[in-house]
Amino acid sequence: MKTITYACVTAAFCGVLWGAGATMLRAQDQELSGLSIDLGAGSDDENAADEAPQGPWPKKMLNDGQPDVQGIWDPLVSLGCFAGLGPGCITDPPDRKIPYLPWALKRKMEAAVGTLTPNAAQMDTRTRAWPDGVPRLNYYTELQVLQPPGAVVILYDVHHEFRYIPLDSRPHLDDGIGLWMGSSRGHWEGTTLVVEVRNLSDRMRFSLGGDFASDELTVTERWDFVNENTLQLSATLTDPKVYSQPWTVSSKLSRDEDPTWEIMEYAGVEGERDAALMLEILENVDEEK
Amino acid sequence: MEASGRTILGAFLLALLVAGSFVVTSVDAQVARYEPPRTVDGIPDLQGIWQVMGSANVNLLAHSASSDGPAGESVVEGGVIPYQDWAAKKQQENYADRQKLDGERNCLLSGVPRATYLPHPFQIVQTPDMVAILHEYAHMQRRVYTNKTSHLEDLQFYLGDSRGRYEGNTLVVDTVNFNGETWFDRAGNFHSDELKVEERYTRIGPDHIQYEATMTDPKVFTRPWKLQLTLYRNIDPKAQILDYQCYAFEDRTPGMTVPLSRQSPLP
Repeated sequence: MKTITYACVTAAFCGVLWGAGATMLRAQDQELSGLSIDLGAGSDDENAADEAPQGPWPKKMLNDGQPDVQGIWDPLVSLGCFAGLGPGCITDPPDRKIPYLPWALKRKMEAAVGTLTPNAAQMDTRTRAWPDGVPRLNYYTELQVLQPPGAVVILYDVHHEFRYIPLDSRPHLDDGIGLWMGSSRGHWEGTTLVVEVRNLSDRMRFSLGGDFASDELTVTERWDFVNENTLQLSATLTDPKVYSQPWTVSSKLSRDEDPTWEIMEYAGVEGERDAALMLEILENVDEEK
Repeated sequence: MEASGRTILGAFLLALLVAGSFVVTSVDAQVARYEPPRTVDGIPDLQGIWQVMGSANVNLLAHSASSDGPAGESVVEGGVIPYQDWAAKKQQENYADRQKLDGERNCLLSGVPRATYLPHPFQIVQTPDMVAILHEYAHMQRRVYTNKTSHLEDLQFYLGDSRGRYEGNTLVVDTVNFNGETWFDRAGNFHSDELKVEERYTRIGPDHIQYEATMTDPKVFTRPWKLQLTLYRNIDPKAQILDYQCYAFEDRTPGMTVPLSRQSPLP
């Protein structure tokens, strides 16, 4: 009974967080209109060709030599990715499971159960409107790609997170700095942006299913801008502390059809009440006993 | 004799001019003198990691040191915020209850122009269509559209809705559509949802920006008023925006009051 109650709250908080804060109505419209369910997103790219517009790609090169891929890109939401990383979005290894080491699998399963309880140690970071990190933000929120000289900047809608990805060959940060969005270094291979992300916080969660990594995680992303309308994204996670081998999660995004669309302010923490609400429900359940 | 008189008059006028130029404040002289580099897109280049000095975030007006922060001189022109009578009382109430009411203490989005003088760095990046301001504080992002678009209608935001343009070497940003829930500082200085802010960003040297913000809010103030600050570039070649997700600190989050007996920390 408890679990069912928590599940309801969890379903509610997803909606609440999407629409939280000052932009509630607009944000909800946006999520609903942009929400196309594609269970196979990321695992197939054959229909990319169908969407390919005519003409050369990239349409132009920027003054600093980058291919111009700027614009707002919408994820083709994979339910598998959102609820817990499953076959819908894991493209490697072939069994499409995260290759957890035995101790780590145990912890993941505990967290998967704990994510639906108001347990300080196990509650999903999303429930508190905390940052999602990389790659979780890549597979369920619209994002805007900006290309100022010498860098690629990703502006995410959810949690007003951003990433500044320098394209020079500057070294990574020192070990010992854990950041919610990590620290990114990138370079272009044709129209594919290759990014290495380190210094990610070990408090990060990848899904509602309690998926996690340690502070030794390295994420290698490939932002493959296939054509004017299609972005094929993959992230390979390497973490010898937690996984027996590297594994890859893939997702697909399409260019927002409305060229005048703007990302709205996302006020998440400002409207966050779910952790307290879940705690309140737990108290009530205990009193009824 | 006549020629000599003209010479004396000319010298006198020249002396006046020279004297006058010394009267001009040093910052204004620098603004006029410095020609900033341009980005590859031909825009006055404001890019880099910037931060203020001083304690404007504690109180925009002159203040002594306290548990709220260090002492500081006024950054407001004339040293006064021209409140209407009711608003002056309201500011006093805010001040008395600042521990509870100030959004910064709860790590909420800070509003504008406060975002600029929070004691945390921010990074400016520019494309022809947008100036993005990326803040270390709570990962706030400000999107200043420079693509000649208009403000949105019937929407309110913590950070407002910013549209900008370049006037010579100066980036001018108009921000409206505030939700009226943010303050200017820790001292309870406040505004309503009718606030309009005009910011002016002007490079005055390789590593300095002169920053001005003019606030207009007929609900709260008797006239527009202005603050002025200097932004300093972080010149460390390793500098980058890290994070200050203060809302995710353990002691700030509702739900963190879970009784210990219910916790089963992971190995």
